[in-house]
Amino acid sequence: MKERSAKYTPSETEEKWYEHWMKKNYFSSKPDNREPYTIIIPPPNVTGVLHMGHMLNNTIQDVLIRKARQEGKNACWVPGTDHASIATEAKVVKLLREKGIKKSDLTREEFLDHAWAWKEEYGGIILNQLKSLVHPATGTEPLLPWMK
Amino acid sequence: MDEVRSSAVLKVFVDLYHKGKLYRGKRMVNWDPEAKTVLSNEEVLYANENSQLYHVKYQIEGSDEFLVIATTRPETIPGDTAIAVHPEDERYFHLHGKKAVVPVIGRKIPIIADEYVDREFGTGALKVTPAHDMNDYEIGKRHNLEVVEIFNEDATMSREATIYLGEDRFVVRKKFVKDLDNAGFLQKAENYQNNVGRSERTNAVVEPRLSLQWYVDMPSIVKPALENVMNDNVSFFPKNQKNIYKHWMENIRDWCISRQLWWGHRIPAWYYQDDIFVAVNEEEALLQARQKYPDIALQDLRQDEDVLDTWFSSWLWPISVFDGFRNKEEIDYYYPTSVLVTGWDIIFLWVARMIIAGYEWMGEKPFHDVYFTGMVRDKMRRKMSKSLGNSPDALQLIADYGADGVRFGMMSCSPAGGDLLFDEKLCEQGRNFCNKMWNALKLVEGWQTDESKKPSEADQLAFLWLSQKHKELVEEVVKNIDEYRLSEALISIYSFVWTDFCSWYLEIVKPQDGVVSAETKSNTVTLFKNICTLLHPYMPFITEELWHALHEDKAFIDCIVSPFPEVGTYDKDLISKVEQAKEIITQVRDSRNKHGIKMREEIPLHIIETERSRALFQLSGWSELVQKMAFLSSLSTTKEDKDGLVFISGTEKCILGITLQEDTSEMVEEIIKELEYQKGFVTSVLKKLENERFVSGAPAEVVEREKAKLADGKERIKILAEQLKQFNKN
Repeated sequence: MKERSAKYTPSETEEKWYEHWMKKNYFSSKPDNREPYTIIIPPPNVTGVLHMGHMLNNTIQDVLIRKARQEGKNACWVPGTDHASIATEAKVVKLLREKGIKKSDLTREEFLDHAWAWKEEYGGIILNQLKSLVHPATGTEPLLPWMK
Repeated sequence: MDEVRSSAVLKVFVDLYHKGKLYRGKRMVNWDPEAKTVLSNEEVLYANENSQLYHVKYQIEGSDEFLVIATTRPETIPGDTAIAVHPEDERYFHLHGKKAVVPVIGRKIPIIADEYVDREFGTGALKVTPAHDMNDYEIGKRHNLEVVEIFNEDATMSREATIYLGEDRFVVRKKFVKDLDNAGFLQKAENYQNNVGRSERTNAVVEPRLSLQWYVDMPSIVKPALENVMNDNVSFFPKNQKNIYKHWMENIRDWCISRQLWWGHRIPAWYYQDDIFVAVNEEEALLQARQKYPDIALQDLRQDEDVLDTWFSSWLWPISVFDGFRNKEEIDYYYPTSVLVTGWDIIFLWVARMIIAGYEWMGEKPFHDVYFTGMVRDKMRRKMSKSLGNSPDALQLIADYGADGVRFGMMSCSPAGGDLLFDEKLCEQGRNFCNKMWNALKLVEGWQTDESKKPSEADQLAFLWLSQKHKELVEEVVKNIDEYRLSEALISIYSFVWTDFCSWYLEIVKPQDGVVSAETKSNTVTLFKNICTLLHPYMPFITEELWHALHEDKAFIDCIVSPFPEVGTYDKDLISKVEQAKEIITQVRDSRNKHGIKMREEIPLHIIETERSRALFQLSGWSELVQKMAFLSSLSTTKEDKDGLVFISGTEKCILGITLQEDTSEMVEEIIKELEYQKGFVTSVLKKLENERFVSGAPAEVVEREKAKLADGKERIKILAEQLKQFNKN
């Protein structure tokens, strides 16, 4: 018989199974002869941090997706593209202002370079944070569709 | 993939343009002066705010007479180009065709008659500022009025305003009111509540502004999207969102899709002189342009500087994530998707538009169901906000209670369609739930097995009962989840695990010496595994951990892909008999507590013989189970009444074989109270059954149920009355 700790220790367990599930590729989906069960993840707000609204929304979806997977369906949970161009642009403009750079002094291309850099650093934060709670389909990183 | 979705957006733009459903036009728009961009109607949030209503005097040209108008926006007075009165308003007949002088500014403007004017508001005279008010703009068009734009794009005063050049509109409001007052043009100012629109993104007060923008002709594409929601082809949960949707769709206005930003899809329109060429790329645009101007080059074309509203790409997600505009394989398989889970706050911005796009380009709905979640609020029903400090740090919660604990906390208080009243205590309850199951695992793991040992009849009955009850639970859970009542489903699993499995089942089969029969151990493990697969969607980590611990064999599949329990038939009669056993045991325990009898002091229990009590005793293991759990010296049926302490379980009269020395007045009082209650109950049921409309109108089974209640009630009254007689005799 195994030695068991007096209390359940979530952090260890969660990391262990998360890695195991990833390794077994349970979250990926390709068309096959099973019945599909698909959910598209609504856009997160680009405020930079996870809040209770996201947690609730994504947990509900994860519950439905997991049940479908256990029912033998081909469960596909896809994040859409990142969004909120006004909010993103406003954030970048503000950040630049703090560095003493005015948007009006930049060309369109220069501004987009700054926006990209910001996106690289903060864009994926919410999805990454969500991973400790739920598991979206893999292989679909947050995307920015209008760029090359 | 980036390019996939980008091309979808451009394709859709070009497609709508060539269908004549997308156009460029100069119109009044909602302008966000902080982000310096136009907004769609759906991105403007209106609320009542406290402000001031200023009564300002305008002199009639060439006379000493003044006309008073009331306005909440005196800073727009420099942009006035008319005064409007109602054509039938007798007070102003004599002013038709005359001119008024704009106070302080000095411009002379016509006094016009227009039926739009509300005679009851203020003085019945309206200042008309076509450049900065939606309605005034329409009046201006009808009367060919001059349009004077007094604001820059950041809502500071422009050159045309002639005063306070470059100063902010709200600063100017104060200064200009002072100017009006000093010059004797301000009659009075009073407190006033008006409806103010603010930008959803920046919270800036939205400024109506005349501007050249791109629009989608929405009325031309909404029809199938409206019909298919109203007939539930696309099902909304909760249903009441359908009314909101219907109202919006029936009053839909054109969608302004251009934004004065750099971050986003640049509008695929190229200009040359007065011509517009819309194409998916500049090469295509050039080809189009050369049809008319054979000699022009790429550098002669100028692409639109603006980008598209972010929702103009989001409304295509259900199609574009599967590359559905170019590639058939994935879209044919995955589309329509199963369900959309989202907040009701983006029903127009996103949900409705996805449905519209689905029918426009796929000829099919984008999803079968839409589940609208409620808002997350605190336990006092307040919205979570930074300023209230009532929004917990999500990551800290996970660190404190574990992901499963937090998931439990959120899912257990989110009734379908209702707001989530979040309380950190619920996460704590989730963590405790994990520990409860963890301890159960340790208990079961600790049991030694003895192959030669046979399980007792009570153990076998307990297993049968819980297996049946699990099936009943599965039926309830599946039904609830199908209707998106996820909280209700979780609560019923929780109570099954905590109460039925841990507090009852494990207590019944738990051996004194730590040795169980192999059969009991394997039965227990089976029940535990069934719990894991049922609970896994809600609490995936702990259930996967338990699942692995419960498998001693090598070959098995992970919990995450193990079949979700299927709905099947179950023995309701058996469940009800064991539930009655539980009730009797609980009553014996309560009686012990009340009368100071030790838990393990063995006492006899008699149950008056009836058809029901005979059936209970006939069930294999039933009396053994009651006797064991209630610590009874004996358990039997009896035809005759006996002395002792009486209680009622269902319709069964039970007599505990103890004599009570102490004062019984309290108990007599309780019996009288209970007797009164039962009499009231019987009267109310009788009334119902005497009601002709109820008896003829209600379904037969409902009437039968009421009759059964009446019979039960009468039976209880009989027993209670006897009990009372017994006490009085003593």
